[in-house]
Amino acid sequence: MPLLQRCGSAYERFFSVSEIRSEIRLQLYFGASLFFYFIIFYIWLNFPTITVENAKGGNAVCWPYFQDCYKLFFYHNTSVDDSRGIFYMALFVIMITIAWSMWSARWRLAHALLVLLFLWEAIVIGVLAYSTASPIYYYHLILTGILLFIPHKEFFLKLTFVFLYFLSATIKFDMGWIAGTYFSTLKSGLPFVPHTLIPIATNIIIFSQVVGCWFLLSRRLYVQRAAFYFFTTFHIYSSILIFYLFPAAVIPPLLIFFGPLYRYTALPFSRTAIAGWTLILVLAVFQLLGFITPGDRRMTLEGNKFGMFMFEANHQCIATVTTYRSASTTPRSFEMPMGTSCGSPYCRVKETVTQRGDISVSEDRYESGGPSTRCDPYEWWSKLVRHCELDATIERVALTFDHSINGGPFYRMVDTTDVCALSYKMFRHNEWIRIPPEAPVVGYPVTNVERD
Amino acid sequence: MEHGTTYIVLTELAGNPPPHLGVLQEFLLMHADVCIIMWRVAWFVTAVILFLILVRQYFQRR
Repeated sequence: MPLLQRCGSAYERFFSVSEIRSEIRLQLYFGASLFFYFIIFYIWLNFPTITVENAKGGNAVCWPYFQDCYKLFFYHNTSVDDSRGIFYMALFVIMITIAWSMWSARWRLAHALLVLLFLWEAIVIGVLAYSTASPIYYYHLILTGILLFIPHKEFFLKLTFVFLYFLSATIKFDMGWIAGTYFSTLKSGLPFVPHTLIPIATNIIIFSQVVGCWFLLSRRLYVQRAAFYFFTTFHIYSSILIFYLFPAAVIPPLLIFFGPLYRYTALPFSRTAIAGWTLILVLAVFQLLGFITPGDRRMTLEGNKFGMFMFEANHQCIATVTTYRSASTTPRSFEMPMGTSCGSPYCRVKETVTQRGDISVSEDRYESGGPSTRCDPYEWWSKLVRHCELDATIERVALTFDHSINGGPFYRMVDTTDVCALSYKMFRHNEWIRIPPEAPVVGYPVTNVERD
Repeated sequence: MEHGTTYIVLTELAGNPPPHLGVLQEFLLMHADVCIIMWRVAWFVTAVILFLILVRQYFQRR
């Protein structure tokens, strides 16, 4: 047997590609995963999050465990050159080739190419872009990882899909969900649900994610179908608030594995199933990591990127950054008109620049754009420290950070005269991030909107 | 006008009551600790039952 053919056979055995070759559900999910790649690459192509210029501007936010990640950024803004477009067009060609390989049943090639897309997604989410990382991507990464690498693919895709619901429930055991204040503090409330019934609706969701989701795996047809229709309706309904991205990650596997093609799959206990069961254990540990840091993670956001935090609280925050530079400047001020739309995670609503002797003082006020902006003090710390490193004229940067969750009081969680002198520790509480009652109440929020 | 940014005048509003809550929400918030413990217990009991089902199936298959 030629060497190439032997390598191909070994590859097929190692990654259990034959399961995909012989199973229509896995082939359908292969296409669904590819569809999601098209969506996310389209988004990433249009944002400069991981461009060299974003890093040079000090706006890249790396994970706390790899704070020099911006050194790995390699493509540029379109104003500099076409590298970003070229890179994503290369990925586009890969996506087209995968579609062709699927069509012509060349599953080994399709598999190998999908691994490349998977690796890029994993690198961006796990290494390069802390701010982008969210359970939407975790869902897709985990499920695609099983499709690509784990034996007993159909069983573990179904089990993991349900298990992720079960893990997501753990973040909902607070009054934002139990009393429904997440939604009642939105200007629109919960669509089609009267204000008084919001807590009933939110508790039904919690119940469905603790108990109801397991019926998706039932042998009893009527019970399984009832669970399937419930979750399909839930995801379609939720897209009113959260739009397309999460439903695009979740509804296809739900339809493929639990819809009309559903079949009961017996639990595998052979040696080849060890990888799958280990993954389940790893996911449980990953969820627990989010609870390790003492304090309320919804307020401090410490450790909140770990686990399925879908979604932990309705956030509102205000960051006031005062930069002291040894330079001269022309005094100026600017203020956004009251009620101006904010379509991004943060918007600068006020700027005041003054000259105090040899020092220019620039005070900028930023407000969060919607409840899903996580209001993470780490992101502000990370960016401001980089600004201090990059700009030699900066003497110090003062930061106040006020944060409210679920319509509760605004607490002044950060109030420091020099944020660049601070450090951030992972899995430990950072003393400079104050929590109530140490953090004083500075005001109360108004109702907000999910998206603008 | 609809707006995403809240643009809150913090100091003037300090000490104001939080946004309006419904009767059921008031009741649930009064019993917040009990509600949270109840759901945690439900989650834990479900996890234990699932684990027992897993162990039973394992031994049945052997």
